[in-house]
Amino acid sequence: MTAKIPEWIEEVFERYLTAEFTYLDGEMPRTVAVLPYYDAKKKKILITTSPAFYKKVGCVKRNPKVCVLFSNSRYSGIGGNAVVLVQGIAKVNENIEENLHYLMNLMINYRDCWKKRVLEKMAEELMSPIVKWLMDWYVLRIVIEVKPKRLIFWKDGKIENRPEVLEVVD
Amino acid sequence: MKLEKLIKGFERVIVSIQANEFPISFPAKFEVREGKLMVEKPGWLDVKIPARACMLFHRHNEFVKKIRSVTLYGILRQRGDILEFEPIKCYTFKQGDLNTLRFIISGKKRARKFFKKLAQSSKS
Repeated sequence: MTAKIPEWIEEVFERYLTAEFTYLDGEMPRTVAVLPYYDAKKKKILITTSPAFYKKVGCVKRNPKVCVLFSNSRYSGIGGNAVVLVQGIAKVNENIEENLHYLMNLMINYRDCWKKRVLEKMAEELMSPIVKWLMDWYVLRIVIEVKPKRLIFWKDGKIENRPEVLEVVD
Repeated sequence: MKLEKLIKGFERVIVSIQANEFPISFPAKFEVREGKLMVEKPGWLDVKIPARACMLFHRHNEFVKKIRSVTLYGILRQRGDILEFEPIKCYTFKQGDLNTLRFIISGKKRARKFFKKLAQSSKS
């Protein structure tokens, strides 16, 4: 079935605190826990990483077919245990200055939820002089934009059952 | 270190495999038997097995602090309805004290290396 991203799934993207991002390193899948953003205007999931972990970026540039799993509703304020797997195409933006402005604006306009508070708290912590000195490398972010192509989901979280599948239209 | 000890306290694992076009990931309950990780194969999973796979265990608190994670890379095989994972490589992380310091120092070094490379490539 082909469709736009359902509203409840967009809410999952916005409010689930963490997700699991998988990319391919040759034939080996590599999965990392991430704190993703969702750009509701662009309909894209954003994974950010420091240039210190550039190996991941290199792999994504070589093979942009990735997936992002939203499997943990804890701290999201959303009832139930919906699990959503997004298969999509990734695009890397390495312009660090542009990314900083983009992410700041996105955060300011982000849906009011616990995740927004966590992101704000993290940003505040990074502003203290000592943390700024220690973590200057961490603040610089490369953005990996994931454009969803296919959504595989279990609204009730019962992963043992056959999932619903949606091919996403632009 | 023994696998049981490494993943003690985790209740679920994220299984990732390369499927036809895109990778696929799903959460699963697990068991450890003879140094291997056993996961029930969901009936809908249609991928070529044996396959290389990644198993991620991770947790954090409501502020995304107190992070603990274990990442295993290895081979996934099928034994009836069970997926049997044989780990080959393992990476662990526990936020706090020395580990955080190591993370900061290594991050600083890596970032410096990245910018040095970037400056060199923009010169040439």
